[in-house]
Amino acid sequence: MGPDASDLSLVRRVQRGERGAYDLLVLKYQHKVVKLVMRYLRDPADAEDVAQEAFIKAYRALPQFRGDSAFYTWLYRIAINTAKNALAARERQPVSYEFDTQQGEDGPDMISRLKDPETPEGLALTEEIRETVNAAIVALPEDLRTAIVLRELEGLSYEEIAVSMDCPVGTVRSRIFRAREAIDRRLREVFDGGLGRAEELV
Amino acid sequence: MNRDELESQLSAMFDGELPAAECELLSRRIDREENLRACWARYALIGAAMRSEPVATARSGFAARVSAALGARASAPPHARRRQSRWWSGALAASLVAAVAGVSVTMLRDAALRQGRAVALVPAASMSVARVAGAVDSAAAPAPAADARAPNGTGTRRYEYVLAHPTGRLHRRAQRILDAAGAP
Repeated sequence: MGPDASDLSLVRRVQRGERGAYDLLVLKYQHKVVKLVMRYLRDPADAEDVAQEAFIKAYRALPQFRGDSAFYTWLYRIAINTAKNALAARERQPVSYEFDTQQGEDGPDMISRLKDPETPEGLALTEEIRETVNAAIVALPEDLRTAIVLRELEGLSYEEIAVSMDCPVGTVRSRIFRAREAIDRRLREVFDGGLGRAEELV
Repeated sequence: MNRDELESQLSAMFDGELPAAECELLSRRIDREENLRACWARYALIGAAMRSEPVATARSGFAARVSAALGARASAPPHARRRQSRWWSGALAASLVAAVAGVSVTMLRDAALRQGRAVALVPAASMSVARVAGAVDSAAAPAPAADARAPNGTGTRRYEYVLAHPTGRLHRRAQRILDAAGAP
């Protein structure tokens, strides 16, 4: 099953009434959708509000989703339209200035700044995630590296990878998991080592 | 089940490669365990980083806020809302039937009045529907003759108007009803 098909199976479960399956789609695409919306709305807090609205719209429109296109392609269009509408609405409103009396003299707390992707710290974090992941992949044993690359970059199903690597499907599943586990361990070190807890990604 | 096996299942489910029955069991566990959800989110981040996709690490609690917003807006699951819309379609159809019935009863009453028969009173709601129906029909019909324009628009006057303008839909319907009722 390729990446699109795995989304489709979650979508079908949502359509059968499983709300939890939609939470998994949100967790899967939240970072991409927030980044996408930020192309229109520079303020990260606004971008998150609009991204949230886009996910809500998508949920409400899900009964009409037939699976003709990939779920993310469909979600992408909803997110873009929601962002454009928000931007148009903002341009019709006068600019308001608010002073946050709760905020200390040093500005927003460090963790918020680090999570804010448009600040230098936020960009550094995104870059650090990428470097960590790439370094972890390079350090993987070859069989694990091949399996995860075929899955994540080529989008092959487990069965196709099994054929390609000449091994049983169960071995492919195990290799992909062990590759992810090794990369994830390095990633958690990035988050736990002063950049915020890994659980805060949820 | 140990942690490794659990996360191995999570990885397979992330790829859509876990059998449906196992998916169902694991989903219940994911609903309860935040660390499994965090792991799922990191798997997504790993894939995005490998593909050099642009990502922004959303602030913590983003997915929970979406979920809460869906709950707060009393969002019935999509399939339930579909059933709800079908219910409204039924109600709309029933209203249309009631409106047509109102027109028919009014026309019968008018016919009976012409013949001097005693008839039961028509409910006011049906009269209003009939007035609206009459207005719609008159808009489609040729301009009415001066003598047929009743200042207070009573049912009898309207009936006379309908008979004077035999091309209207209301006329044809009235004629059918009168035929069925055995009116001369």
